[in-house]
Amino acid sequence: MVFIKGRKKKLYTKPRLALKVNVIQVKEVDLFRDFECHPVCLVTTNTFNSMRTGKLKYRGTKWNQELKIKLPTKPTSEWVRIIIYDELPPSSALTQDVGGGDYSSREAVKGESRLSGVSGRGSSAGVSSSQEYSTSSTNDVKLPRQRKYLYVGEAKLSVLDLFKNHDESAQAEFVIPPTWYKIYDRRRHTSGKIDESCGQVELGFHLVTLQKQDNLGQAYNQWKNSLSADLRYQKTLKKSNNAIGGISNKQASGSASDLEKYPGPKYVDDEDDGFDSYVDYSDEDGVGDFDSDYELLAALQSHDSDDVAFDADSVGLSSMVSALDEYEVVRPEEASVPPSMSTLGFGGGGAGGGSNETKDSTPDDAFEDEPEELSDTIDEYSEDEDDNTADITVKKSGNRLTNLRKKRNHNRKFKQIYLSNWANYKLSKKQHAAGIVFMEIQSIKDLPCSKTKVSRRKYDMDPFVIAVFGRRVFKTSWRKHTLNPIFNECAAFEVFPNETHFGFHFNVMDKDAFSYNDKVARCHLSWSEMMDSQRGPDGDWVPLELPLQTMKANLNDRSPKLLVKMKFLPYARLKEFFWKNAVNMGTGLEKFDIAQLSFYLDRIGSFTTEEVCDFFKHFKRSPWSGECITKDELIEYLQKWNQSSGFKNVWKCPCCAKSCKPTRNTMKSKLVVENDLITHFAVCSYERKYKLLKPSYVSSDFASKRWYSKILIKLTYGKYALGSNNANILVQDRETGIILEEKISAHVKLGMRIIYNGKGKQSKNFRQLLKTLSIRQGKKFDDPSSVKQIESFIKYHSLNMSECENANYKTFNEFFYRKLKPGTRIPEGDTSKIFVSSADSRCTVFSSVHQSKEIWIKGSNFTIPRLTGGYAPELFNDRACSLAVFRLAPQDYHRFHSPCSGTIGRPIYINGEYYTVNPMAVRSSLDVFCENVRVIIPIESPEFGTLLCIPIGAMMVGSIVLTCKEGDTIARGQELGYFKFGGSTVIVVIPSDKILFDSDLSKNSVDGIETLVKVGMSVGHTPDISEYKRERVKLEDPEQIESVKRKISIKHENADILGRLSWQYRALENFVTKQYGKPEIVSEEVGGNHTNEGYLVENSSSSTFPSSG
Amino acid sequence: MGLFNKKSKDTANNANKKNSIPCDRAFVTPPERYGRGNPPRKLLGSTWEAYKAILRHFQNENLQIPVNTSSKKLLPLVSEEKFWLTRECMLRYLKGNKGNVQVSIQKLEESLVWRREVGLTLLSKDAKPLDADLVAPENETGKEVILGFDQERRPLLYMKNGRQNTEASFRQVQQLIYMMEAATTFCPQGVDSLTVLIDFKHYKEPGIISDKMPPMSISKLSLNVMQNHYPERLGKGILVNIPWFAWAFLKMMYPFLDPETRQKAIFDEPFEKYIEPSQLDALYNGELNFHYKHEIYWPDLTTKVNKLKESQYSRFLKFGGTVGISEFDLKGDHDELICPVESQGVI
Repeated sequence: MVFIKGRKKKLYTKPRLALKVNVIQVKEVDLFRDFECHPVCLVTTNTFNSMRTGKLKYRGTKWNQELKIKLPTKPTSEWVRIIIYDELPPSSALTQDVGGGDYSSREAVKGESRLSGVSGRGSSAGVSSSQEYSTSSTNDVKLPRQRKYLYVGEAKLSVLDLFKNHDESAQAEFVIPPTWYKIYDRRRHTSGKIDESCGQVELGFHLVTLQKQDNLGQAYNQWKNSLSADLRYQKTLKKSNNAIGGISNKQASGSASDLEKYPGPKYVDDEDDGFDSYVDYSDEDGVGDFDSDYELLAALQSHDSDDVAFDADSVGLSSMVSALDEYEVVRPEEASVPPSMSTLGFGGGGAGGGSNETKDSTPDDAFEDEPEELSDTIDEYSEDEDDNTADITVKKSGNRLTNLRKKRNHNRKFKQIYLSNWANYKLSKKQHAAGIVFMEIQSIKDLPCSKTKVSRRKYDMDPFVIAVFGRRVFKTSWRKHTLNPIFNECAAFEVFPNETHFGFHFNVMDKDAFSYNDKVARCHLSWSEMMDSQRGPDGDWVPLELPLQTMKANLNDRSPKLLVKMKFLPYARLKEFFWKNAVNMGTGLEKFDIAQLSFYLDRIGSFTTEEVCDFFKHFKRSPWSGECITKDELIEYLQKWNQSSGFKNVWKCPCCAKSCKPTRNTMKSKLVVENDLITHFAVCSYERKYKLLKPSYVSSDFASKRWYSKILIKLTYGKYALGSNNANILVQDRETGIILEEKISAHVKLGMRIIYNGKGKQSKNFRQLLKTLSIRQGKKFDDPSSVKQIESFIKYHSLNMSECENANYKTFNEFFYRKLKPGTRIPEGDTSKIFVSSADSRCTVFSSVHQSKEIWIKGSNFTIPRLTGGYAPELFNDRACSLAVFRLAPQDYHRFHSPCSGTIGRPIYINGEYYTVNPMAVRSSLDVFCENVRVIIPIESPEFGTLLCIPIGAMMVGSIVLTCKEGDTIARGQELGYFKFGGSTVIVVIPSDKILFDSDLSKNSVDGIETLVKVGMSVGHTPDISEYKRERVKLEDPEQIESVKRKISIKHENADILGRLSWQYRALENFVTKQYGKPEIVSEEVGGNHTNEGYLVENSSSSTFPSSG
Repeated sequence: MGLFNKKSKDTANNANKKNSIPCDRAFVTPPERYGRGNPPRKLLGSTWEAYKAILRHFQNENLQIPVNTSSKKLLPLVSEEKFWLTRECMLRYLKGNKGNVQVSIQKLEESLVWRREVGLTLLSKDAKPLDADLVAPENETGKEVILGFDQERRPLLYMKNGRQNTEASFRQVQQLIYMMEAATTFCPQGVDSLTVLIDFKHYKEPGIISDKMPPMSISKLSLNVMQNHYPERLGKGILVNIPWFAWAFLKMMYPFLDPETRQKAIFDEPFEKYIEPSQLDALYNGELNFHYKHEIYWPDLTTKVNKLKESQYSRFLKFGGTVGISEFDLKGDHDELICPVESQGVI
């Protein structure tokens, strides 16, 4: 079993067709005749679907199994491959004489041949023959692996050819009776003229639909059409790549021969999954003739997909493969390889691993180039990169012999397709933490004292600390009446790779008995500062003294300090010590006989007796005569074993024996994201020594609330959790990682209720009201007298006016669509292949419409054609598009910019309603995006193809003004237009095969959280380049943090000072009183502050506006 | 009978008290009235061919097998191993592996290696044997007892998990191996399987440290031993005093069991029809008033086992000391070979 299967979210559209392959038997396979084999048959299509038959024991050749493979809705090749493997015994050397040497001798047979009848493309492939699976040479070095598969041969059949005769006629039965097909060994290479098959396999096929109501013929034709469309796309791709490919190919073949001289075993002993033979497409890569090379593309895709563990449903070999690498420990020798060497290594690893390898190498290269000083973290990151990519690749398998550069050029093409597949699968199952930060909050010195009004004491201070890092929030217990509190409480922060530009925030609060808790002081520690302090030997506590900044400056001139101790343990280190600690902790025994060992192993997972015996065999002990292995040997074996095969049997924490299988519950509570066993264990074992705080809060605001407000929030707004579909809107700032909440003010909530639940007249009235109000308000703000509002608006939202170009505005509206100084929003990345945010906004991205509808856009009728008003439906339909939703709030900079460079097409105006676009509305059954006023701006981009930029007007948005014309050529980040007053949304619709969204955004989006982005920030990129690496923003100035917060929500104090209600509120109040009598405004009961603090959403104006109702 | 209803408690427990037979040792032979075992059956057709293939394999004088499971050192078969490789033994493996010759040979070899490793076959003088002295401490409370025969003349092996006197250890597995060896030695002529009676009752007596089921790891090891190295040895499995959850589980599983296995497992019917009361412990409604006394039972059992083994071994040598001699010949008292090695069988 694969440890931690991950969430099984279906992020791709459901396939409609399935191919039933009846695998009956094989014959005339020379290997099976001569050796004792356990054949396994794997059937795979191009994408992520593969199925395998059961293992046949002892030279059996008959499976007689029917495998049902789903054909993808977006096929990229017509081929179905039937690959036959031999499952090698776990430790081949022991029981059989046919150990290493024989296997390799079998392997060494050469003779490439191709299935001429079916695969009439490309005459031959295969030059580099240096990739024999040379077990013999390495057998003495290597340890017995858990599961090895020996590639025997395969048959590659075209689905199109198979069902050629069944075309068109809708009623035809898509059945092919069992016949014999020849199988070929791809590794055997010759000039390609001799068709030498290495056996035959009997197969039957049957095409079925997955839904009963579907018409098979239609479904098949549809499938075929989308396939041919894809093939066309590949062809264009080929053309564009030809020129570059040709040159470098020549270079490559030159250097290839040099490299081939390297002795094989030298590299082989590095990680070898035993899958070398399985992932051997290097033959094809190696061909000089790139034409035929290109022809192989389709074939390679299918290769790729073998390794890709996309489909959690299928019990593929593929998923096993990727499981192997999940817990790979960095070996010392690997870590010590000098940069240049290791680059070669990673890239060259492609010999065995094929095209995937260079995918790995790219990020690696990037990391190697980074300065050495942060080597600790860098190591960690690169490793993480690896692991992330390992989700889709078999990492570093095997002989590192072939040429790096050659590969890279070839692979670019493959990667493209292969990444476009990947795009459908954003959430990596195996993303793990970059490390764990343990923090002990020790004490605070010299807190300022605030005068108390009630009690007769000198001061009133019951302090507690809230510590925040990204999504994790911890709150200490409070100390009674002290200015020098001692806490000594510990917290463990799991840090994920994309969070390392965040920082730690500490808030010191004063607990009050009845009123709200007061903020006393705060401080900030950025990640890099923290890492700097961790210079010493690994795993040592580093005491830090952080100066606290008091909230009220006029208090006495004390300088309070927060004393914390920190310890950062990178993931590699955790892994390294995992088993050592686990075994030491799990048992007091020094020696294990077979019963004791199996007793111990039973506690952490499930092992068969044979697997237990393998422990002994490895150390040449005989288990059944009562011999023992020592604890050290056990640790040694576990570490090795875990390197080669993953934790396949272990799912319980060795420390607390809690099952770490993902449960529905852990997936629902987003507090612990993809917590894997190793990080869990680290936290868990730590918890034994020190009591850890529980991360039970989502945002620091929530942590500082009193119990009664929590209860009220729960009652009125719903459960307070990330991504939960209720009135709590949580937004994460991309730069600092702070999670903050927006609230929907009471009147908006009420208004929405009326719209959604109101029947007939009221609802209609309300819509009318919204429309007239929006227009009227728009006009009002064009009036010069509205200038007065600007100042209070700025104050209310704490806007940073230094970025603005012009300080004098004639009307409020002019201020509203203010321009920023040139240079304040520079597009990130130096290549136009990076897709940037088109507005200062809260962003969610979805790689498919299906996904977006599942998570975000709940409007029942939302479709792309409805959104675009039927613009170019062949390009923009629900199946082929990705979405990026940028939601603007009133205080945001209201101009929207082009996400990429290109040419503007003819904009289309669509008239409609003025609903609010805040998340609560979007996530209701109301179809806000498709019914609101909007403009469709097509942009023709060389990198991303045609995409649509759709600014959508919302509540209070009078109009959308474009500053560009049809036919204009625009650069990335150039202004497109602006919204007049109010919040709004920009949706970008883009073909999904052209873009990969940044992983942090897509992850947040899947969790149902919006991310705060600025114009010019990277949102995605074309599949052929790697993600823009976000630099770590060091926020030293607490004011800056505060301003971030203000961007998201409004400070209580401001609301208090201004103390006025918005015109909207008044308007609604009037309206409601007229219609319903007394208003029932829910959040007024929550507490005085709540009604005032919540004007954050785009539809609400600030409280400074005069009532217009 | 409902899923969760166990069979009603037998009230007749005390009824047999008066005609109880006191006993404290195992007996070697089943009652005469059960008749005698049949000589080996004739092997026909493919079975014969398969058997011959296996026999040929082990008759090969050059055959060498590893000295233990984790070494590559090879040694030819010793006399003890040839003694173990009887005609019935090979047929058992053949049957256990569904007639597959290759697999049977492999499994036989694995068992041979295993027997070397575990100490049943001694290759050198200084090797540590798996003998009665080694496992004696395990049986002080009599958690495994051989006593009586069922109506098919199979020896009865009682396993009482509720009488555990030691911590879970490898020696418990060794004890099981020893008891299996002893029980198979007790098999009378013409019988090569056992009846195992598993008692789930929790006993409370001094010396018993745990009345729980053994831990999963020990059970798994034991099962592994039974499956791999004693195939087709289980004639009947009788389960008594089953806890309700196991009962429910068995009830649910029963329809899905292999018909042959189903016949072997007895848990919801009175087993008097398989075992006569005179051969059954009074605890299970029999007439044998058996009280386990380690100092009497254990030495007696070991001497009996050794005596039986020696006599069989001497007969084995007498008949030529080769592979494939029938157990019928080894266990009988006749002077000439009834079923020669190469013959298809007698009846």
